[in-house]
Amino acid sequence: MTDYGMVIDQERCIGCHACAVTCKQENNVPMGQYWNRILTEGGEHLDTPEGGYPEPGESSSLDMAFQPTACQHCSNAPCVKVCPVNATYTRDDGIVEIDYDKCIGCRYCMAACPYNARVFNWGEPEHRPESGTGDIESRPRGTVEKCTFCTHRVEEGLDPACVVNCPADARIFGDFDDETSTVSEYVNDYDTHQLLDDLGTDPNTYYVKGEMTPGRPQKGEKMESEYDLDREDTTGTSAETTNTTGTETSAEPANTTGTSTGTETTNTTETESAPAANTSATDAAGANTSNSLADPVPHVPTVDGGTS
Amino acid sequence: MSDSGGVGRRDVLKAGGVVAAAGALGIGGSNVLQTLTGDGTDSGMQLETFVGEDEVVQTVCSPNCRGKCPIDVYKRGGRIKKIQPHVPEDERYKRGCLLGLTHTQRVYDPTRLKYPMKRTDWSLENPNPKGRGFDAEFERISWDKALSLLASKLQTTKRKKGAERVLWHGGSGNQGNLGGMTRSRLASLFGGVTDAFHYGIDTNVGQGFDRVAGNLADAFLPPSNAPTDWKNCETMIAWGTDLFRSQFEMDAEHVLETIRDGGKFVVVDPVYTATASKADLWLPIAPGKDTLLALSMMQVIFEEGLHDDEFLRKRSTAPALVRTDTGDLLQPSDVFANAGSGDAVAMNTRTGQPEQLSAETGGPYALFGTHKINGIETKTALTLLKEHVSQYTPEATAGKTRLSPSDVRTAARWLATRGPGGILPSYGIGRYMYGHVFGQAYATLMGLTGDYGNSGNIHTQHGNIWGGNQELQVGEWASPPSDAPNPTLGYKDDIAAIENGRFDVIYAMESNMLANQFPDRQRSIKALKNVDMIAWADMHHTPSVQYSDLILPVAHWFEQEDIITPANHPHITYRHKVQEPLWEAKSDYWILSRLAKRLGFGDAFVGDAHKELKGLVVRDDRLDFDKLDKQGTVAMDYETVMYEDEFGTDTGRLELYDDSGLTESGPGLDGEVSLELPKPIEARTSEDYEKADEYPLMFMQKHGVFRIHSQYEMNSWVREINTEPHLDINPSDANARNIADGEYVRVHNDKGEMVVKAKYNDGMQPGLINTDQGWWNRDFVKGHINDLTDAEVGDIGRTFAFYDTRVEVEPAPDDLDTEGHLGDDLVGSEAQPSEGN
Amino acid sequence: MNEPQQPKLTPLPEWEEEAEAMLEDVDYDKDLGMRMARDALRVSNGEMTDEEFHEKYHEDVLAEFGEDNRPTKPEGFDDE
Repeated sequence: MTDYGMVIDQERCIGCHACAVTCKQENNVPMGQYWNRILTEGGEHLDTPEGGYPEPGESSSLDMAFQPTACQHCSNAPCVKVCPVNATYTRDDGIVEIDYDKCIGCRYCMAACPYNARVFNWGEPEHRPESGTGDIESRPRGTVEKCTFCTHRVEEGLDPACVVNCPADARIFGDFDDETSTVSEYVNDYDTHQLLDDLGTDPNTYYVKGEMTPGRPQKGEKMESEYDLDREDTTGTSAETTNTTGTETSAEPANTTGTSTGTETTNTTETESAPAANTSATDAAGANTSNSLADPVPHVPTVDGGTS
Repeated sequence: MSDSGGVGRRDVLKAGGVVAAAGALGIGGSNVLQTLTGDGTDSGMQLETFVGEDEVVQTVCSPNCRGKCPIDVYKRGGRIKKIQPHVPEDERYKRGCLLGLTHTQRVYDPTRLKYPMKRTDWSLENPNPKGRGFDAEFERISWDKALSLLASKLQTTKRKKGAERVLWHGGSGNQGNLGGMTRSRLASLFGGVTDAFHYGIDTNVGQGFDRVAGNLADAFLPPSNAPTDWKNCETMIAWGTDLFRSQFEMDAEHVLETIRDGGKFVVVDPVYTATASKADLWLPIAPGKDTLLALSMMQVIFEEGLHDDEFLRKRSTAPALVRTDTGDLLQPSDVFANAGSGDAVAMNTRTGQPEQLSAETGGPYALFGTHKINGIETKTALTLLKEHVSQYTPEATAGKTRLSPSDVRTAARWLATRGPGGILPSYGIGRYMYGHVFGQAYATLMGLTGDYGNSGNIHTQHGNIWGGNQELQVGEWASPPSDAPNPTLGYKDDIAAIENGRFDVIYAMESNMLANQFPDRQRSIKALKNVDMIAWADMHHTPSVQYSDLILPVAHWFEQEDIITPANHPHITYRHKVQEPLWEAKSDYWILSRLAKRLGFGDAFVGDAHKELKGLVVRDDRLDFDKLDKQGTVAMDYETVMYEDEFGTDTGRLELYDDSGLTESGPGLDGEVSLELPKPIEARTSEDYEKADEYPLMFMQKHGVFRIHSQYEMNSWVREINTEPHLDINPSDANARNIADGEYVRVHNDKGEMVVKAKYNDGMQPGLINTDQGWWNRDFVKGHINDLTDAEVGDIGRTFAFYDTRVEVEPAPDDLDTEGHLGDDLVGSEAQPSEGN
Repeated sequence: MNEPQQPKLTPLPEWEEEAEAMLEDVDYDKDLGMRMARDALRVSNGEMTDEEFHEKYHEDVLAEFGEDNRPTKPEGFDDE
């Protein structure tokens, strides 16, 4: 089985809002709504601490941290239980999703969500630019919507947008049913907590506080499990084929023309280039070049480059 | 579900454990997300998805943040749909921030200029400068008409009064190489005056550092070890920089790795920032007291004997003897019969004889003491430094710095004893009048601790890969040889020159300085009345564009092919054209090369950006055009560790004592101050400043995560979070003035005022307030942030001192209409984006 | 102060107020929504079973929505 979830390292999070904005872009979230918001743990306002400014000569006791907050994808989700039409439901892979065709807009799920994670399309969703953004269609007026862990990406083997675009490597997505996954390791090895854990909702989102994790340095946009599979596919030659900087990555650039006509290249993502299940080792090596090659061992950042 | 039937584990995982739908097999088919519910019934959800369908074009985000992030632009149906960071050749530098991700909006923003326009009440014959302003109206004209008017005015001006009455103003709004080089080339050919950052903006701290460590060819900030080396830093002092929120968030992981590896992270800042929240030790210093703190840290290092003697003897002028009579370094010619000049002399304790010092040579040199040589009384430079700093014990300076002496000692000990470390300032301290002395002070402090030339050292927030040599090396293309080379004005001189009627024509590009970002904004706006014609080329209808006569719509970066050279990452990157310019916008290259033709210099430009770039790259033997164009990013060689070789000073050593006779006598100082050693001089931050009682609050304009200078102001995703300008104020300062949280306040001084909303913030030091910079005039209920700042500069830094501003605050008048300012409309439904052609 | 980006994770007593605000103007029975939300949280933390929850609201849900497709339906539960 698969049980998708996320670890967010608050020691790494710098509160920059990149994940909030990229979520909005990727998921075509209308104006006036954010599925993913960065809460300041501190004062009353964004980016303000709690405590008093130190008196002259005194050391500081001010404190502030950032808590990115979206749907927590609870294992025991109250929102799912109250939906009279079964529009909000938990998938077999642990993701809590909304069927927008079924949603009648009663908003009982919003009331039942203790994380304030859901938003409601009161009017016709408005987008800037008007024709919308990202890789998924807009939801209709009168429906509730929220973070989906980017199911449309996950089903193509790609990490959620917020994970890919975190400049602090603070967000890690993966399978809690796989005990070797980074999310499983971090939950085991670091001091993590779930939000409002006394409610029994058992979120699939864990927050790290205390010791900082290595995060997951993102060198591409593929899910960690994809890299594991790449390695399996290239049994015996993984050392040569799974990773590294440099020429392999560049063998197939995103744009091959550069002419001023401006039209040009197609996406070279994994999905298009790799019907990979029975690929031979050599072919897999070739396929790997079609996208950036992440370090398959997520918690060991590649730091020794060839440059000097 | 194993490997039977060609459906392997990959496919199952892709399907996320849900029974596979079409997308799960990853081979085309329907793009409709057809998930099945937990009980296996078809949910029927029909949201169309487009993963894998988009065209992806690699290009580069190009504001002046030095991030220069390679990005992938996803297009579908001729429309830009999203942005993601592009994984560059050296994937450790994959990068991007929230602003770069939002070009999806910016490309189509209603503030984009669409057509050439002319102010309706402007003509060649009657320029009517009084008609300029925020209610000026413009009419659409053709490119032919616009270029013809511009060429005609330029030619007439040159013929009648001389080309030097033309100012070619350029800012930093586009980090491509081609536009700026074309401006420079055309200005060289036609004649006229150009302007530049040196000196005017952010070239302050670097100058002081250079005096100690040598001429480093970049007056902004000194070079530093590459970000990938920072994890080896044992003590990292972020001084006066909220680096996780300004300019550096895309490189955050490198600082985080330092912290994770157990390096001590110290933040010196009067504001408790996001960066301070990550610190092991935060030093909440009073504004403008940074040099004082550096002196105290040096005092601690001397007092506790923590200096790095080996480094000091071998690589610094610490042992150099200084004449007590003249204050000059003892010259070899003072001592030895056949000595050359330029080097210094030290006392060899083994031989008991003076010895000429040369670079990179250690020896048993006396670091301290008084030595009489040939009857000349001398002291070592290190002795003078030690004597100088002895008065600045942490206890003695605490009254001014506000700091806990024990915290100051901790910071000094960490830097001196934990192994390689360093100090990374950014531009903040250079925004105080005498920030250059801080540059001198921290360069000296890092000399005491021997933090040069080792893995783990850090000297600034910039990786500054390629050092100061970041432009394309194209020989004389950008400035062809001339009998009368163009004069260049520092930005600090722009306002006075315009005010004095020196220019009839201003051609401006890549800038929102004159009516928004320059200090003393009312003054520069007023000065513009002396100019007959202001032509402004820009991507957006900025306040400065509004203040011009001829508006030239410039293409978005994604619509202008160019080459982006390294800064904080080592790649040279091709900025591929993502789409043709929208509306009638054109690249700066197109505009200027067409203008050149009308001015009689048509032969000087190829006229096609791609061909021109190709021709230029051939001149730079580091590069291969075809590889660059095809590959997109090419990682260049660079030095990971800086300062391993001889310093660029006269002595080849780190110069802890400057006998050049340099003095500072700028505003706020009582006569000349000599700067052999760093002295804690201040302008308006000083308690004795003449208007300190009238305007008791220091006013900072921090750079935040939501702007690069004034760029991205229009971005409505950002504006949903960052709704309007706020005044960060400590509740105690607010209460003393009867200011409620969230209430509009009037911030004022003898220069002007602005009205913004108060935001209680316990992270603000009492006596210090802040409004993040980069707002446009339309965002203020009244006034403007730069109506409060002053353009006055000091002698040496010659740099705008934006943070050296004093103000008072009061509740806004009750009858003030706070509703109608345009910032509100931006996030409402009124501003309809005009899309495409 | 208009700060849409600074919501709080609210303790339960205050959550009730927020939940009520969310259901303001809803076309369906607001009171039923509140009661169900409250009890759904009880189910989450084990104070009530799925079955009890389902049965408790089955008739009201049917009356209000004309259907009851909640996933809490026990095995063999009589829909009618």
